[in-house]
Amino acid sequence: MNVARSLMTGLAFAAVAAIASIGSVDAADKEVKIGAPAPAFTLKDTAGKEHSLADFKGKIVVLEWFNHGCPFVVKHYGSNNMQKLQKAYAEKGVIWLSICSSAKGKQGYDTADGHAKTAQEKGTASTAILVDDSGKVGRLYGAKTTPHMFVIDAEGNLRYNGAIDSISSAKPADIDQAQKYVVEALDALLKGEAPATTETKPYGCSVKY
Amino acid sequence: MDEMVGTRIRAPALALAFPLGLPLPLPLGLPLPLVLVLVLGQARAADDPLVQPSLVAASASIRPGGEVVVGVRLRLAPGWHVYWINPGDAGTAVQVGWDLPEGFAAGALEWPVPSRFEAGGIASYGYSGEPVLLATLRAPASAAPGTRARIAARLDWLVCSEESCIPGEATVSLDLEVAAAEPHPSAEAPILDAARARLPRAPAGLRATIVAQDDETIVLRVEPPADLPLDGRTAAAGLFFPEREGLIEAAEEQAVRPVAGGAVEITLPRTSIVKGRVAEVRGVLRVKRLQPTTEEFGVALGADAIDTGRKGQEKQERAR
Repeated sequence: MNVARSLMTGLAFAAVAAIASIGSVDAADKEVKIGAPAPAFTLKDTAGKEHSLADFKGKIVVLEWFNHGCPFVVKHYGSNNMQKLQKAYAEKGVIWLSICSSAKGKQGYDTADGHAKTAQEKGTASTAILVDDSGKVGRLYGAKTTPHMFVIDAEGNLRYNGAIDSISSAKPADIDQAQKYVVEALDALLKGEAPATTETKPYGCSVKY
Repeated sequence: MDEMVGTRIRAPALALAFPLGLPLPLPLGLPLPLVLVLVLGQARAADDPLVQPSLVAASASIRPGGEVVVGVRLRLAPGWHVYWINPGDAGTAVQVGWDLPEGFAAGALEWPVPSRFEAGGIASYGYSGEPVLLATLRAPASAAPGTRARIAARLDWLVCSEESCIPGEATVSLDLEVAAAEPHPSAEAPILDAARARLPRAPAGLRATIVAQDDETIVLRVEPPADLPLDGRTAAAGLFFPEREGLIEAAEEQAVRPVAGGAVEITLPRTSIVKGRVAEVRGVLRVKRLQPTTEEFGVALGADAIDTGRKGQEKQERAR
């Protein structure tokens, strides 16, 4: 009986131990802290040119995770909301980096040329579209969804991490009614103020690492 | 590949990640390459939908002023899942909007115990297989016997595999006959009975409290009643699903430890999204009974923060 009992306890705890091995994104997430320096990275754009976060010191930077197959990304690109934001903030000197971390064979994955073509068709107005098909930078930031948005201030510190807005749906009709977290964070930083909302739960499809 | 591959190769985790009561799709003993080949071999025909929705009722008729249990049934293609109330790290819950005849009303949806799906370090809460969401429908006393009532539900879902996510929507309906006679169970009644068995249990006498919290963790103490087979062994294989989105790190470990008197304490890894003191945590604790036979079930928990003593208070002070 005792042997049986300890065997069963062992099995039960083995199950919990197995769970412990699957937290890779969250482990990285702990390094990404509001107010702390945003992790450094270098990625190639669709033309093969390298961009490092450090290149943009002195400017406010938006990181936008995307996957054009994801209905939540379709919501924001199909309605032109994302492109409008990219254009509007580019005019205010904000750097906007659109990053795709979809692995080869998964939704949203494309070659650099394919990404460039799609961006032209959709009228993407980012500073650069960065290809992260290894998922390295996505994991570094703990990017969980598409879209998942980060805002970094001119000193290179992370100031916002989360959803693009407050209504977690795939319906374009919800965009106007939503609280626009990224817009609020950017407008605050442009005025030299601290964003009121710094962390929200991102919504969307899981990043297809 | 489907979302279960990651867990299938870790046999002990399988029992936790796999939905209640569903048959295992593959033998555990197969070497990994063979398992992968078999999974890839589950190709679907082009016209095989990812989600086949339907509405089923426990009886074909309803009495004036009476009730009938109905179920929204989603039959999913292998390797695809839909989402619970709290979808976890990503995804969005199945939405159900009722379209009922004048005077009819539907009660709150009852959701089966969810499973956890993990891919690339991102964990979601939801269902594979054939989840059924239950609701109790009530007819008005004024419903006229001999008439038919069209019951319709507008459904919206996001269905995902490990590779992609696809939105879907449908309207499903059925006709109920309004009749004064006692309703007879329909052919679908066993589906609804099986669905009810997959709902979280709410045992009388179960006590759950938040005994400590800080900015990293929330500790739940669960004190089971004498007749519930929940002790250090069963709950150690457990997993807690909070209803509140963004409260805990869905992919991280939940440490479970037995404490005095047959209770267990579960340490939930907190995100930095929900700030400040948490007054209550509601959700489902999934546990696994190992004897006399292996059985998995879920227990509905509502835990309020209590006066936690000096240690807990200090932790809370630090969290502010």
